Amino acid sequence: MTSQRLKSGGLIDRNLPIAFMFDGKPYQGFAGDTLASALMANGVGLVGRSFKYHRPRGIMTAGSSEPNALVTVGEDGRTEPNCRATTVELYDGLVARSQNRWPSLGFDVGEVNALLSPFLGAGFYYKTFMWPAALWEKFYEPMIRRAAGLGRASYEPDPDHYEKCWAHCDLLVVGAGPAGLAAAMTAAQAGARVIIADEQSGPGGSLLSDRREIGGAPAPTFAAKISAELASMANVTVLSRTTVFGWYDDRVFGAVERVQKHVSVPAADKPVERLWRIVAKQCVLASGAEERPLVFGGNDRPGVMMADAARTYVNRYGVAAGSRVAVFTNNSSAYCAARDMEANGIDVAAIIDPRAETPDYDGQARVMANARVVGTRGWRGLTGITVQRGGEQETIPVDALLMSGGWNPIVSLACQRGAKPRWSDDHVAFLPPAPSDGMRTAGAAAGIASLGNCVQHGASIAVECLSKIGIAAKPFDAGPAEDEPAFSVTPLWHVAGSTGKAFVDFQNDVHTDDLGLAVREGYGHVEHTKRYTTTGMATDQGKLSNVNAIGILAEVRGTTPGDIGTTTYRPFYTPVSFGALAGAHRGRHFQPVRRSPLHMWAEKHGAEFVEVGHWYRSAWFPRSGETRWRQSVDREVLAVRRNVGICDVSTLGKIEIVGRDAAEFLNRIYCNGVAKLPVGKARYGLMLREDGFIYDDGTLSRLAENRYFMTTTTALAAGVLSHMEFCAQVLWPDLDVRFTSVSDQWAQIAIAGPRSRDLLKQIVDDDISNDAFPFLAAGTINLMGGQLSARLFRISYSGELAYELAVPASYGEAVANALMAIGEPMGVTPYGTEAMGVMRIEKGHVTHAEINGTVVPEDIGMGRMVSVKKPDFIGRRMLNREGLSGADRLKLVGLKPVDPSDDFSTGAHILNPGAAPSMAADQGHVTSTCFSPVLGHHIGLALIKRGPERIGEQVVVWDALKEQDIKAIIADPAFVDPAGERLHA
Amino acid sequence: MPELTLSPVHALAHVPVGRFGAAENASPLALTALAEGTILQILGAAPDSIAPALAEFGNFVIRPNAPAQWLAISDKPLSSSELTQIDAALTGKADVIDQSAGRIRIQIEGPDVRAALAKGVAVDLHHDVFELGQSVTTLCGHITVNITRTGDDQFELLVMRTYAVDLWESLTEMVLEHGIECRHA
Repeated sequence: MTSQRLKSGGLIDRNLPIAFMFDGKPYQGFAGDTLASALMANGVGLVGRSFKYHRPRGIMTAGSSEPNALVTVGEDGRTEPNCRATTVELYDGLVARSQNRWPSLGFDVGEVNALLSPFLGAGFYYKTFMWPAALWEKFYEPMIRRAAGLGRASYEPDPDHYEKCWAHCDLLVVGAGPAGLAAAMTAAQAGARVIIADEQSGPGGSLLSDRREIGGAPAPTFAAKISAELASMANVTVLSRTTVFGWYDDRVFGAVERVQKHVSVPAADKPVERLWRIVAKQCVLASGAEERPLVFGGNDRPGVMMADAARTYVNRYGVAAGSRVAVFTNNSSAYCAARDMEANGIDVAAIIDPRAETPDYDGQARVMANARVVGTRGWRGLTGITVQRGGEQETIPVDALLMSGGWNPIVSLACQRGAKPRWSDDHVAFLPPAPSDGMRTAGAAAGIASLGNCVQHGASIAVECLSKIGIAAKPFDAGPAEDEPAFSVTPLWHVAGSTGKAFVDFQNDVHTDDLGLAVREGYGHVEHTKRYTTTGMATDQGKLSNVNAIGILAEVRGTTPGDIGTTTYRPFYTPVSFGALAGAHRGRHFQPVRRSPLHMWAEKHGAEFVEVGHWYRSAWFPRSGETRWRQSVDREVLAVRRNVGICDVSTLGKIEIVGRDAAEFLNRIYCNGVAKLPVGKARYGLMLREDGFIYDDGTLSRLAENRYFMTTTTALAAGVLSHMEFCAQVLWPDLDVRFTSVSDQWAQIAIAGPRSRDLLKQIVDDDISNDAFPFLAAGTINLMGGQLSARLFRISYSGELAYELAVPASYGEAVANALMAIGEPMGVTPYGTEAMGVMRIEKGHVTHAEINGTVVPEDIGMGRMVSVKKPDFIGRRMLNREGLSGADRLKLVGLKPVDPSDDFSTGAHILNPGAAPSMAADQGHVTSTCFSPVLGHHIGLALIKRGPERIGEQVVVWDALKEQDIKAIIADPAFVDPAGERLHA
Repeated sequence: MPELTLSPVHALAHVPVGRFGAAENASPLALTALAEGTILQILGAAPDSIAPALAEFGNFVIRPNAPAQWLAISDKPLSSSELTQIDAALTGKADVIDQSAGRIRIQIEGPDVRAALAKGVAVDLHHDVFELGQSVTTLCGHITVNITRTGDDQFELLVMRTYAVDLWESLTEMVLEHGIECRHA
């Protein structure tokens, strides 16, 4: 292949030279070039190595179907492997590298695979590397992956950003070629909201590669004029560099826009890629048609390329595919390519056509009817072809061969929701399925052949689409298009008797023999053939190869391509980067951060935060001199137990419930009775699931006759609300009850410790003496001389005399500051979730570590809470199942080490002394552990078989991960104040 | 008791303000943290039946929030006694839940406002589709918001207080290519 830049012509800007590097060597192209056109202009014919055999490969296409010219573009964090050189726009300083070769593209050690190719047919790996099985993951697979492969991703972080966005329109036009532009103009002139998207750098599609005239102007000029008009209209959005890759439910289309992939240094204010979700009332698919390769021996030699691609290179980029070329075609379209080559001064040696009757051709090239190419010469570049006509063979020296095996309408998008394309003997192609759910196909994608017809078809299909949504439109009139010969094609699925490997799928190195082997070995169904041979896989998804493979399968199985059918079409049409799919949601925006109203207060006091779902909760508050978290936590616990501490509990779920039937509703939601809860009182509540297991716990306070305030755990705040919605809307719609989350309205502060009342008394206007505001009192109070109305609840998680004070969230920081200032003389201490956790374990209070979806109230010592009087509540019936009340169930107990210096971990299992670890010997497991600063040693909570009956018994805490056997004593779960006296103090 | 004054702190009190993003845009977007006034969640009544009662307590606008739920919004903060009076005035018609501190209002405006919001919002906000005064509860990115069109190119986002800072930060990053002026009301 001795491709070169022509002296004139093309749509490139020869005044704007662009420097780039390929495999470490500097080259120059022009603005408007792709990497592929620039490489060809520099005479670079060898661009890659094939996947399996490491055969030298050249550029085959001029678009997104390219199977060979896959390169790695960019450096460091901007490294992007497997880019098709044919779609990479050239920019100054672009750095590209070839892939799948070592040590170099010219000399590749992997080329030895080509010599082994007789042994490397379809299924080779499956058959050969089966034994011993243990070696597959450790040896065979890594070895095969190293030898056969594509590019490698960078481990460095991507410095650029990505985003996702939504768009809405009446008509989405996919493809801005002749049919697409006409469809968009038709809709735009009717006033419809139009989005037209095209994967290329600008609108025009095949018009940019055409020399003919339409509407009185050369095709590229016509395209520019229509595009400019569309872009100027307020109701039209023109998306270039945008591939519509998927069609999803509700007429939502996925598209990726390469916003800044074509610039040297992306602007920081813009994303490099943008993922569009386009909601369209109607869609015109004008995606054009893909030229099929021909399958003959040596058809992968660098220099053999698609005829239409060669036409694009010469007309659009001013690049000649070779100095002396031949054309091999079974259809009339490649004659236009030959004509365009000759018009640009390129010597066309011959047009080889297997048909007896060939189209008229008025150029210089020799037209050879009844002829086939049966072999190619050269190794890293084409030097000649062998042509067979009748019984005679002839060698023709050429450095490029342009092939055309017919045209495949690009129907992928129209088939992604299950519809199958229809085979047409007339077109020798699969045509799109019938219109459905607002999707219609226009132009070459619908099997329309000529330029003029495509334009008219696009316009008329747009009129059809718009009529479905009540918009009257007139078809856009583009003016006359230059005549062209009628399209004709005769199937030629492969050239029998040719020499050398005849490739069907270039990217996966699948050749004709592989397909025959697949059929012989029982993998003749098209979906099986694909998996067995890998034809149609990888980055190009068989854009060039699929229909040829189907044609060959049909021949081998003695049936028709229509009978064979296609494999399943799925998104994505072309590869989409993970960056685009993630959009802005990465790094610190991976998930939203939920900040408590006391976040800034906690930060001011030096809190270490812990992520709990979306929340950032203050975990502990280190003070100077404290180097380990335990030091801070121990201090905080002792401060609360001996004095007073305050803790941010704003993250608890809070739900306000109102309505005449609120009491009845809540009585059915909780398993314990709450109907008779008096106004001004709070109660601990336990919710079950329908299956009888505990769902969540919290408190319920009655603020007024028909107004309640519920707290849930932080983790299940949303879940409990949804559960209640389901109950209210579906189970008991007759109840008069309404509720909503007030989690964000209230900042809630726990004030705990023997001096908590002393502290609170100084800011609460109301009488909160033990008599006036006893344990489980709840009510509205005033703060600091009537400055603020708040809610106070005398409830305790720590086991100490404690309160929870709820104030409007905007006042949270001010009230916490006031508590700290007023409490300073008494040594008030902020404490975090770690200290809270220690104190609830010391007190034997459960959390989701214990109520983990496998326990019922009886298991945690709350069996007597379950109402036997209520006619019904959620979980009542299933709770009575056999097995949920068995004597051998795991039940909550405390656990303390025999040797106070011993420690054990959550998750460790309980064994009887002397028992060997086994499922049968398992007595239960540890659910929570902590160091108790009050007791001076570690303690734990555990679920143990018949636990409460075994208090005082010695067991072994077996930890296989730490390889530990710790002796421990089963204890009452309430290590601190088991009588609960402090709560009532 | 020491003399201390309790003052409210706006959820967005600490977010950065000023001009961000593309400097060349002469008409950047404006992002404003609106003052915390009164936001009442009304459960169970149609706006027509509650508007007269609310009018006595301030200049309320009533926006749909969810089926049979409304948001009554006023720029003026109300005292707890006024809230009690509203509750009494609506007895039998609707239940009132005070969300004045639970929701934060953010205003965004500018010629490119729809393109900017489309980066997080799936709802069609086109002039002809989403009318002046119309509201919808939807997602902006990962965060639930109630969006109201308050002007030709002006929208108000009402967000749960604890997500307000995250939404603010997301909005400022979403609109960098348009340029944005961030400020407090």
